[in-house]
Amino acid sequence: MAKTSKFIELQPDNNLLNVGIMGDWIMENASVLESLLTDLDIEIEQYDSIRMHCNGLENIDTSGAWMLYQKFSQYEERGLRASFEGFKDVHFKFIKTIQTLDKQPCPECMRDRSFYGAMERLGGLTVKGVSHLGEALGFYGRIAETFFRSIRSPSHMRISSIIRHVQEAGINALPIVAMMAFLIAIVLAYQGATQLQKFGAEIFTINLTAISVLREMGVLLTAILVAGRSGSSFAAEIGVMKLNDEVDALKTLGIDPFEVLVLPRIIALVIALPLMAFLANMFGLAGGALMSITVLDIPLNRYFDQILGAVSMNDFLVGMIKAPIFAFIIASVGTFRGMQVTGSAESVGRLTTIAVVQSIFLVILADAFFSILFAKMGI
Amino acid sequence: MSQEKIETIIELRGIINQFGKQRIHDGVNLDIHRGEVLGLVGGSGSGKSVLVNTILGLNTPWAGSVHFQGLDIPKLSPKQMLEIQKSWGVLFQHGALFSGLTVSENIQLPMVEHSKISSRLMKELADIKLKLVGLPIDAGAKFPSELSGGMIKRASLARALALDPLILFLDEPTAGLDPISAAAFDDLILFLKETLNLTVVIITHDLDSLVRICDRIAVLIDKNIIVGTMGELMKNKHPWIQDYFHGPRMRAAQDTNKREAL
Repeated sequence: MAKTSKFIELQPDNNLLNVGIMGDWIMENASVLESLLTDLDIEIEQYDSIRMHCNGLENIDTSGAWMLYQKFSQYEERGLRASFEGFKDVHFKFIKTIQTLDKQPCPECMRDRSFYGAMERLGGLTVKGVSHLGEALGFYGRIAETFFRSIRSPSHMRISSIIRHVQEAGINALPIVAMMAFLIAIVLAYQGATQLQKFGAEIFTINLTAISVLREMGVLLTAILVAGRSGSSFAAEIGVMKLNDEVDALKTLGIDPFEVLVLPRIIALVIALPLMAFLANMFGLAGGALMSITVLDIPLNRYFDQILGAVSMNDFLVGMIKAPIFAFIIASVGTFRGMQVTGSAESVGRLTTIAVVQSIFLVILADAFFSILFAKMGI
Repeated sequence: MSQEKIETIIELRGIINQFGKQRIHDGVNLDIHRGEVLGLVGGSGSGKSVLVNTILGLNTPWAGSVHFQGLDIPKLSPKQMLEIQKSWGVLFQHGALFSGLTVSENIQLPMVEHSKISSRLMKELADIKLKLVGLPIDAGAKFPSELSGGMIKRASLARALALDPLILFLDEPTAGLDPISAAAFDDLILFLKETLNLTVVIITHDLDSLVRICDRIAVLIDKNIIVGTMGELMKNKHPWIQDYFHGPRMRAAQDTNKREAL
């Protein structure tokens, strides 16, 4: 049974199968050719020799040549008598090239999937985890060392760099921080008012809003916002510098990267975040004031009286004291992850994500710790 | 190539490229012939890369036309453009390998996107391309960041060859390679040109490459282009060309080439 197509023509001759190879055996037709050759595998079982006639071949490239060559060697391996004929020189060159390339030795690079392989990977992960912990400890050690060196000789304190980062991480973020705190206070007041109305205690909505904004919400949400905004940019900025060998360039120029890259960012954020948290607190109270006037019908002077009665200085300080600590967590995690970047642009993206997720997680963890601490202290 | 009729594969006519008030090309005409290796040289900022980007359709010229096998490139529909893009391979100056993919995946990417062949065949073809450019097969499993500069160039060349292009654009392929690797890369380009019937356009500052592998050289100068063989350009009276082709480095390059030929 003779089958024909644009590329292959089959003509059986007793035990010999004549295969006419025709047309363009190029990448563009590769998928058609591949299925044609698969069909040929079934056809060939009835014969004991195959002869490929390539007179009709018009164009060939490495993909076509590879497919032909591979079929050919496959049939030879099966014990069929296989032969080519009618190649034009230009076309035969491809087959020859492919043949020489295929004969080159190829090292086995299989991944060991056995039990020992699994144990080895587990061990590898453990070693990586431990060395990671060591790296982090080393990083904080370097920060402390650089910080005390800078304090002793103020010329090592990069004032202009600190100011730039205060501007970028702090002042530029003020509008969004203020807006967020204002809206959060409105949300809190709304929820509080609807619940407390049932007890006729709407006035305590003010206590609720003011205390939760001052103690928790103001600083915590500011920190989360800053982690997303500045933590990521710290990691990405330093990461890209690392990729461009700029960090190594600093070292060779005798400049300590910790002194110019890491420490200014940390100090800047430790300065900026408390100020931002303070602004967030004020706008939170303003949001509360707006709600008390519009929803609770409480005039502004009574709102302030209520706040002065409800809130102590401690509530304010409890919130503010957390700000520099959160700032340190965010900035150090961001810069640490940035310094860990190696190799490719992908690692910048990966470590930036890790920096944000980890700093938010650590901020919330620290906040929980503070809550317990202040509760035990009775503040 | 000498006996065969010269067939023009790419034709540039009256190309003007201008950024703001700065005119980079002022009426450039250039024919690229099938099967030749055309070297593109010029001082820094003379617009070599811009010209190649214009051919590739990455940059729309301010005026002028680019024809690829008779098709007017800036006027093509995206679908027609895709057909053409499959028939050229580009090696960018820094390799431009996708850093998130292994070398083998990088080579397979154009095949995954533009053909329907089985993944087994793709893997096999990727292996063949790796061998073709002289990389060990186990390099296929590595990520670009784990490769040396020379290997990145080779891997990137393998990706450019993934769809068996007609024409290959190389942007400073030997820049940053040691002389031995650079010479090996030149050999590789010659080998590929011979075995795969490629046309090669090569931007280079490497005088050794110019002497050894280029059939013709196009010099971008005074916002225009002067094309000729090495011999013709040596005789050209333009001062920049005189400096370029008669400098001490050029003489050294020619001496080496002569010594090799002997």
